[in-house]
Amino acid sequence: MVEVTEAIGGATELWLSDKVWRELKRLDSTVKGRFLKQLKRCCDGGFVNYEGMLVVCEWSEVYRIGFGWSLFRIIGFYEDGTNKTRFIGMDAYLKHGQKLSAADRDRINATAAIKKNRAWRKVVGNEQS
Amino acid sequence: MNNHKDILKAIEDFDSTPQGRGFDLRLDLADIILRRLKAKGWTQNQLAAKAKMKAPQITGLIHSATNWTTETAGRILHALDVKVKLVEDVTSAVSPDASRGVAMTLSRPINGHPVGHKNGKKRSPNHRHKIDRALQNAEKAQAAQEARGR
Repeated sequence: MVEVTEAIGGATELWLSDKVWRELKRLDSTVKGRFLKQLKRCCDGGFVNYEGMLVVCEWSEVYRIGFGWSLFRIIGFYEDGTNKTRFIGMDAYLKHGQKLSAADRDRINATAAIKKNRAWRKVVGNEQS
Repeated sequence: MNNHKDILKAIEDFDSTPQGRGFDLRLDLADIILRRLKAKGWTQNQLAAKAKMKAPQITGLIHSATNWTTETAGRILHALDVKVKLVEDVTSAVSPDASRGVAMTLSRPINGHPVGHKNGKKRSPNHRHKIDRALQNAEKAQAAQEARGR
C-alpha cells in the first residue's frame, strides 16, 4: 500500500508518494523552485485546463506532468470520483530522451496497476483514509 | 522536502530571485495563450499560422520554456486579439508570502468586453466622477440634516 501526502492545494489538489518527494528533493534548487512554481500554477488553475499540453494522458488513465524546459516528470492519476480535482502523483523520474524508454513504460504500467488495485491511501497528519 | 511547507518555501526562495520574477511573466503569457486558445477553439498550429511562427515555438511558450522577447509576445497577443499591460503586484508588497500575484493582466477579459465595460454596455468615461459626485452630495445632505437637527 503506497501512502500519499498532500503537497499543493488549489483547483486541483496534488498528493505525492514518498518516491516523488524523494525525487523532488534531489533536484537542483533552481530547477526545483521553478518546477514547483509552475506545478502550483497548474494546481491553482486546475489540471484539467492544462491537459494535452502540460498534463498528458499516457494510457490506462495514467497522466504525465512535465514542462518543456526540464526533463523531470511526475506520473500519476486522478482520484476516482473527484471529478479531476484531486491528483495522485505516484512516481517521478528524469527522462532520458524524446521517446519513452522501457523503464518509463514499466513505471507507467506500475502506476496503472496501483490505480486499478487501489493500492494507495492518503495520509493526513496521523490520520489515514 | 517532506511536506507542503517545504514546497512553499522552495517556491518562495525561487520567487525572491530575478529568475523567479522573469518566470512569472512566462507563466502569465502561457496562461493567456491557453485561455485564449480554449476560448477561440484554436489549435496550437492555427495560432502558429496566425502569428506567423512555428508550432514548436508556441509549444515552448505554453511550457514556459522560451525566454521570449517582447516582439514575440506582441505577435502572439496580436494574433490572439488580446491587449495586456504590466501592472505592479501590490499584494506581494503587502504580503511577501504571496506565492502568486498578477504580473500581467488582460486589458480585455475573456468574455470579450474591454475594461470599462460592464455586461457588454460601455460605461461613461466619467462614471468615476459621477460616483464621487454622488458621494459628495450624500455627505452634504447628511451635514445639512445634522445642522437642522441642531
